Amino acid sequence: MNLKPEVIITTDRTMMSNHHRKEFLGFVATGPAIGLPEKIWLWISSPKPKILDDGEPLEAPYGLRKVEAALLKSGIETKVVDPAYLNHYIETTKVLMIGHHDFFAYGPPSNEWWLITGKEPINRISFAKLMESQAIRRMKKNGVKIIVGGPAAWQWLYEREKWKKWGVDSVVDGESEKVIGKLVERALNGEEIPSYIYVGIKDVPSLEEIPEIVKPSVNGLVEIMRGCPRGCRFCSVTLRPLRFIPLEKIEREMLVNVKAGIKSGLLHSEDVLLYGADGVKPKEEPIMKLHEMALRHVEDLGWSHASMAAIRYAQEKYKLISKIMEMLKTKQDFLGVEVGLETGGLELAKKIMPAKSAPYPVEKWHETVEEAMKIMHENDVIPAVTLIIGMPEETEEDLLQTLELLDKIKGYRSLIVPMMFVPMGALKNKEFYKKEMIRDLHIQILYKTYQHSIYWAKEIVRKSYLKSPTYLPLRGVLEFFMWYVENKVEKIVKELPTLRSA
Amino acid sequence: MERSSEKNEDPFRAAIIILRDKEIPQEIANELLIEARRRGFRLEVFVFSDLDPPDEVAILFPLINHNHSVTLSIITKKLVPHIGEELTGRGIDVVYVEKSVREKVRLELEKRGLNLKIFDGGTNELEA
Repeated sequence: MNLKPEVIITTDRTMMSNHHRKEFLGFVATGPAIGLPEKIWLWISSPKPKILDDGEPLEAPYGLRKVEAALLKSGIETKVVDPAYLNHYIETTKVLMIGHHDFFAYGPPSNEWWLITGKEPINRISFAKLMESQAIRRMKKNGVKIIVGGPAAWQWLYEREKWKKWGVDSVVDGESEKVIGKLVERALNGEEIPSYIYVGIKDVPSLEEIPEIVKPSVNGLVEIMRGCPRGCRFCSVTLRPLRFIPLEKIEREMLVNVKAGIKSGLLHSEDVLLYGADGVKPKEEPIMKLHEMALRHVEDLGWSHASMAAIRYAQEKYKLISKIMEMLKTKQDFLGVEVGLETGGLELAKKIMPAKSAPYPVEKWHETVEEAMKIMHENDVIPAVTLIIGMPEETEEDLLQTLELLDKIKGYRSLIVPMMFVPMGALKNKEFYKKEMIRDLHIQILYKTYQHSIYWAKEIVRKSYLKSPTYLPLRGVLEFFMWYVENKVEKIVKELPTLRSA
Repeated sequence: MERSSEKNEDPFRAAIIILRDKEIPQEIANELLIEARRRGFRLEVFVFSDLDPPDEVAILFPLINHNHSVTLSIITKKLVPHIGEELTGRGIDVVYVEKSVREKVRLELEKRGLNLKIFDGGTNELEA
């Protein structure tokens, strides 16, 4: 294999990291450095990964690994390179491919921290530094074609000055496996390439066309399904067809990680419990088989996302959460997962996420959320709960109902992350949430979620997430940060009449 | 999922000739999406304008924002005098020309037998 192939794949430091093997810490990079120097902030969220050979990281973000696999499958030699080593590839690179989850910090929750603090989030700063690095500038001078993509590809449409300034040649939006080979081939041949590609349903890869990763992914993340059947209007994943990755394919990818020494596994899906499901109803057998297989190989396991309704249904019907946790607890104390609450407003829920509560009726959304939170609390599943404010059509009544729901779930161990509305999915032609759109009730929701999260974060950090003595320095820094934030927020609260009575 | 991509149908190909400060009307974007869905969910758009990249891409916001299912490929080109030559042989199905684009350009395209549609992209009358 050519050690310096003509096609290089990279991303910035906030993405090229294993986040101390704690995926959730990666989210620290979505905020600006507060109360701490930028360097320490970056160290908390994104320490440098282990480097193997001439800049190749041991583990890289799963999306980059998929692109790498797709190119190799097309017969194009390529390599993922850590951003700090790009200068080793200046003279040999012809095509530079850059992926990201949030290039410009417009995604959630970056845009929220940005709006609240008025300071640019670290991920945005870090990405700009990469694009303005001497290595990339020199590559561009040499005529290198730059192709960018990933879940945040849409953000380039709002940053056309930077698109121009940094000399990006092509933006690819969507599942790229079927189109990327041809595009790179054209770029290598010096042919005309599109400035923008949106991958529609005709070019979405089938199960057989999704290549398996050939090198390890960050924290052992493996995809178990693509798409989601719930059809929430604010989500872009729902626009993709639903595909369950066969168990043997998932196992082969897990083994790629395990063989490289990455002993943790992270199951990625929009709703892990819907793996092999009957519509929106989880089924016991595929879920159990998936976990049994995973636990044969890894020492600890995480889920990327699950839904409140699936958690409730899986437990009520099969006691599935208890069964899974019983298995997992032979190896770990808790399970971390991201779960969407999105709104407590029932009318809003009917409009924008009518199937989010399915198979339970949308009118029972509060009950479903409460039940799911209780199930997770009792079974040591620790959710990072997302909540969206500023959605189109949101009314005062919706916000009051959200506050009411937050009260109902305050006794359950979790972090609640409020997010400002970002136009995606079927709502992508709507307006972004802006500062002038903030209402008193939004501030009350933000404050309530802050109170909830700071209370539980202390316990989670100490008793679960960073319990091991290995994490002592990191825990110390985070505890200092929480103390700093508490002091700062209390000062702000004293000045805000909206909150004094809340 | 029923997949017919293996048939490898040609995309619907359109060219848009437009000058700065003009806009693509939503009806044209909708028309293109309908045609693309009929043809097999692929659309290739060549944008010829006097703008620098990537602002030509932004001209197509009405198309991009209303598309959820079509593979959209936008190729941007500088508007040049020999536009007819540029477009010939690319299998273009339709060429939308903004009404303020010079008459000469229109005539050249007509001479080459291209399927032209003239549209009004706003009120500012600019000459190329």
